[in-house]
Amino acid sequence: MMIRIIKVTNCVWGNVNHAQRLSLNVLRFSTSAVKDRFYTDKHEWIDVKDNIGTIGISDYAQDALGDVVYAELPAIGTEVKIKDECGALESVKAASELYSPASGKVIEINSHLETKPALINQSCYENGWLFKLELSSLEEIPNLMNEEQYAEFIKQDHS
Amino acid sequence: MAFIVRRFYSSVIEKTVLISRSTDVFENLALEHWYYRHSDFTNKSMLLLWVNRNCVVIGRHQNPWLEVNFDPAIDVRIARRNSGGGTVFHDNENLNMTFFTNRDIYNRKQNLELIVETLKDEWNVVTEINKREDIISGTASKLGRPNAYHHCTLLVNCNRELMSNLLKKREKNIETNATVSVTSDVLNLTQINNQVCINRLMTAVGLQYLKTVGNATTINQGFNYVTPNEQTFPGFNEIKNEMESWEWIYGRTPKFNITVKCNEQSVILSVKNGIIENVATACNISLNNLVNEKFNMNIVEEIKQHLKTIDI
Repeated sequence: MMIRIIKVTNCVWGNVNHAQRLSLNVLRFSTSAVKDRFYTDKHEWIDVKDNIGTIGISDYAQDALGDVVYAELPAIGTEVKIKDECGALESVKAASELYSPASGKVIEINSHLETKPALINQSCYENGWLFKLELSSLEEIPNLMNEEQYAEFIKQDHS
Repeated sequence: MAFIVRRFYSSVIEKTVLISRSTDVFENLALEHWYYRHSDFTNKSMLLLWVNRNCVVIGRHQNPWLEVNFDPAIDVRIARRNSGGGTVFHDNENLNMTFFTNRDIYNRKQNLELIVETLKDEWNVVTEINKREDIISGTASKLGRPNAYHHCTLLVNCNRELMSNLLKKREKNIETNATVSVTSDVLNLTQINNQVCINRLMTAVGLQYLKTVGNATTINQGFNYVTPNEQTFPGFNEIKNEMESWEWIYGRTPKFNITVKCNEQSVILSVKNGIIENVATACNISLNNLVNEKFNMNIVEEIKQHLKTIDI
């Protein structure tokens, strides 16, 4: 079951130091654990059902980016390879590249993001998903990190 | 007395300042992109200084027709950069600085503080970094993996009148989700201190960078001039051609609608990837020939002419 924790507002973050903030993030991960979601070291996630992968960015990534003001997504029909640049998210005057966590063909993009890019901040694992891939190499997926490994990765990478 | 030098990017093993010999916006943007693509900044930190002749540079997700006042009388080039943020004007009295680092140590605020320090030390000019992380002019970043860069501009003595004519907000009846520029008051550094000049500024910022980046053991490669060309930078021409292409400058514009009004009539054009996708109007004129055409401001003028001929 997914437990949703309401995002703490920025004014509260202002009083929380970085380490505390990270541990809160880790806590949020462990409580929203979904078994079939996999992560890259560039902070994208992919959720695989049959041969369709839904892709988004992690809570850690959306928090680091700040308010997303524009989502540039790949065109439907584009063939992408694993680790290819496939779009960008713009926030506070920075364009952050998106890298595909797997290979395949883009079959759907989240059209709600066109008018509401803030969904990526508000709901990065659900309404703020980015695009869907028809996967061409399912064997790539087990090489990605699972929920526990990713939580550990964030802890190590940024402690 | 202990002398404290405020260091940053202290983990880097090598540092260098590069000055581009080109004043062509497309060459400089291509050079910047080439370094982003082909360099290894794991242990290296680099500052690129560059100056362009008259041009307007829009952000990666912006609409040129919304941001720029197209005037056939003004000869100015329009370029789209790879980083986010808003539109800026460049001329040969404006300095551009690109700070390249590994994504993990990317720190926009520190770069800006370095510039603030330089201006204070060299000319006693006191500037502030505001909430949008601007000083004097604009700032923007491109964050990839493993590389990232932050670039910003400093207006030394640029043509503010031309800038204002080109960028002043006018009602254009464009509806879009593209990133829209925030108008800021800009100031030339020479207005604060007329001793500031672009060459001395380049030297001062470069020296400050070499002085503060890294630690005592960091290898200092000093200043180096670079000429952007295919011979030195294999693949350069391809990047430059893309930067100059219609597909990149105009075709990458986020989807938008523009309403053309004249003679109490109106026409709405829907434009996707810079191409007119749909024309909607209640008037009795046929504009279907415009579908699949590349959008430009002449089309808007043509439609206005058409609307003028209609009897209401």
